Amino acid sequence: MNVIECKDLVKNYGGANALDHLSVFIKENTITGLIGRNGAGKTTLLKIIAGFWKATSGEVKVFNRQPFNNLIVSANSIFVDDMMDFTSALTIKELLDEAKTFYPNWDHDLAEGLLNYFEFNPNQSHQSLSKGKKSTYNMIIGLASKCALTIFDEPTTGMDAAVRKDFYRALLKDYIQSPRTIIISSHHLDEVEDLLEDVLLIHDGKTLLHLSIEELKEYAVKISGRTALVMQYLDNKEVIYKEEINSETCSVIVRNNFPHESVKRLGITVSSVKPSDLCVYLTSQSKGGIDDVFSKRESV
Amino acid sequence: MSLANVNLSNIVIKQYRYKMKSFIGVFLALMVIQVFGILISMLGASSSGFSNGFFFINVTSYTANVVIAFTMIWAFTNAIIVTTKSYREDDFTFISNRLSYNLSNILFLITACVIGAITAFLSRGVIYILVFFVNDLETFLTVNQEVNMADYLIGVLATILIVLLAGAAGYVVGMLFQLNKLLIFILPVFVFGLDFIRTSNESTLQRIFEFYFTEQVFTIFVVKTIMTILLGFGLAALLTNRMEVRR
Amino acid sequence: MTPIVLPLLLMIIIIVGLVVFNNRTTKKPLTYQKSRWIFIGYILILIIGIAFAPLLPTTNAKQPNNSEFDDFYILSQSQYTELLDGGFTDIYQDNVDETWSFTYSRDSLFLDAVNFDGIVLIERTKDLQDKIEVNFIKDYAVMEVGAVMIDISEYQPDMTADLNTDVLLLQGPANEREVRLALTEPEFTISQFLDNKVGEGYSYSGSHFFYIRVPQELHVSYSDYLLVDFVKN
Repeated sequence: MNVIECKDLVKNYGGANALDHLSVFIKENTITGLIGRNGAGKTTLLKIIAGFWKATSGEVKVFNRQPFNNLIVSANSIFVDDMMDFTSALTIKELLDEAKTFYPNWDHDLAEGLLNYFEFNPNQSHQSLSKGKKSTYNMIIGLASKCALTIFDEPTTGMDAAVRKDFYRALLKDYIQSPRTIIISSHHLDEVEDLLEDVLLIHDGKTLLHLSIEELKEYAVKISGRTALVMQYLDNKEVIYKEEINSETCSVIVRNNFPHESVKRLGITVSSVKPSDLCVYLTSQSKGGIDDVFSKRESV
Repeated sequence: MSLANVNLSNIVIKQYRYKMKSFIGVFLALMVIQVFGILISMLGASSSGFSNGFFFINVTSYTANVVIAFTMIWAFTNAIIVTTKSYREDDFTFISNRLSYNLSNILFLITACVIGAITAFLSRGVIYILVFFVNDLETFLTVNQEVNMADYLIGVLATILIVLLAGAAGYVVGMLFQLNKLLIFILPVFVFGLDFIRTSNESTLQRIFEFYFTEQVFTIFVVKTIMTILLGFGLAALLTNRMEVRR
Repeated sequence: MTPIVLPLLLMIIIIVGLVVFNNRTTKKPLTYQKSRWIFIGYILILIIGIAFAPLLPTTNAKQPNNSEFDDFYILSQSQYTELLDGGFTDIYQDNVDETWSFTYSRDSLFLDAVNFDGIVLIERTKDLQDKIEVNFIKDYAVMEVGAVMIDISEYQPDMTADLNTDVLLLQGPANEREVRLALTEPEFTISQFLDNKVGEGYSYSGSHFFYIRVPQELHVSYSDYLLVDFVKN
């Protein structure tokens, strides 16, 4: 069953299309990583799914309902980001009690346990927390609410490495305990890679890829070798990214849809591409990349 | 995971309870402005003296009028503040839709206005006591033989209604500001402009004030104010039903 | 611009003040628990205030019976005529505030006054021999607050009368007695629906005068600024 269905979603924001005819389906009880560069439309998509924003055109359905102004969707989804607003009148401990009254599936033991584990002072107000602590606290709310759809938008902003590790571990354990649909948006995939089942890569407001993490690992390969040889071979290949090109050797990322043996026999090495790198390659603006900027300047 | 079922009234009550806690600062502001009003009231509403060569009688009358007026201003301002982004976001952190958000806001504003109106009305006691001890007074005269308990009851109800009227006006104005920031400048110009639109001798602004404040029949006053309040809250809810949140 | 605009401007100033106050408080907010107790304390103070305010030495405004005062000038014309016709005992005997008696055997008397410029009535009577009787009458003092009249007679100051050789000196208090009264008025949300409007503006009226009885033959002269009349008999 699909928890989220988006068809031809367009969101016009400040004259430009933040989402440009985006379509995506997300299955129930999966952890999906929403990957994309800054400005790709990740947050826009998530806020439309959460029912905060209204799509300009197209169709969006969450739990088979239009999310905007839908109380059932709101009750069964939570949107966690670093902009979450809590009243300054209540302490973070009291806020947990408030959240408890709202969410029907709220796990108070989990919330208090995590609050304790991450060494929060329960009498502090949310406003007085540091950026990293805020993110951690928001994550606790997100996990403990046990909403059927849990959305984390850049959840680890400001967290230090140890807390990040703990967070992902907690997320995974909690997910195994009570499976639900989780979306994590991030711009670095390698951090969340081990966690994810599916990866949704968006770019310029469009869906670029929506694959399982295994499929993504097999999606492309890097072929490298003598330039002349590789170039000749590239003719009928789907080139994703040219990494290093000079007169002697080069390495190019291509779609992994050919038998490797024949290539290897030619003296070209075929190696796998890390999914995080692949995402960077797929979403890079030009086929040259940042190095190009510098190499061009040198040649002038 | 099966979907949790919720109903609107349930969520509205939860949001309302949450607001009564999270907007506690609103009540502190009420306290501050009422204390300020009490201090001003101690100066006396009107004062006059007369002398016949024998003695000079200085009569100062004291009422809680200033406190009530300040409470109206508080209700207006407070309703605007409640509609601002930082207060709105608090709601959409937890379960909410725009209807439940508006309904819980309205419930909260009604509660706050009732509390504000009653405290304003009660402040007369403190004013009299302070006046008596701070000003070295010969005596208190009260002109209350014309005012019985029923009149006081009407007074409390009327105070609640005008404070609510101010609150509803603030809520509409606040929501208009949220829809378009330009209105922050246009609306005051419009209101002051009403002062220049005259029919016969009175300006339109005056007429609007007189519509409520010179109505001598209580039941008609109740109908006028309640209709206006409902209209205001309804309009605000309608205006914001498509508003995007968590921007 | 109508007078409504000025209060409106004041309102806007207060509104801006409130918004600034709001921004200040959100930076370093009080917690819910603390705020709640502060506010409950405030409400308690208000309730204590409303409970104890009636215990203040309050006098209910004595409303004079309207029929008693058909005219609010110093003395009504009819009363004055009656007095001049010798009706003092009938009309005012009960209102005499203070009476001074002096033995006096001279032929002439000069009347002078300090801090008093009211009415003096003199009655020549055969009843008195070598004796002068000075009466000060505090009749009434009424304050009008809008439609309501309040009897403030009890605040009229005392007078003294002294006899020095052949001068009778009527003396008022050196300084005007200042009476500060606080008047509680119904709030505008009450008065809006009252039939009898408690209006604004005050006025005062009342009467007080000296009534002096002297022997029949005494020659009485007086200073220019006294309003002196002789009872006809």
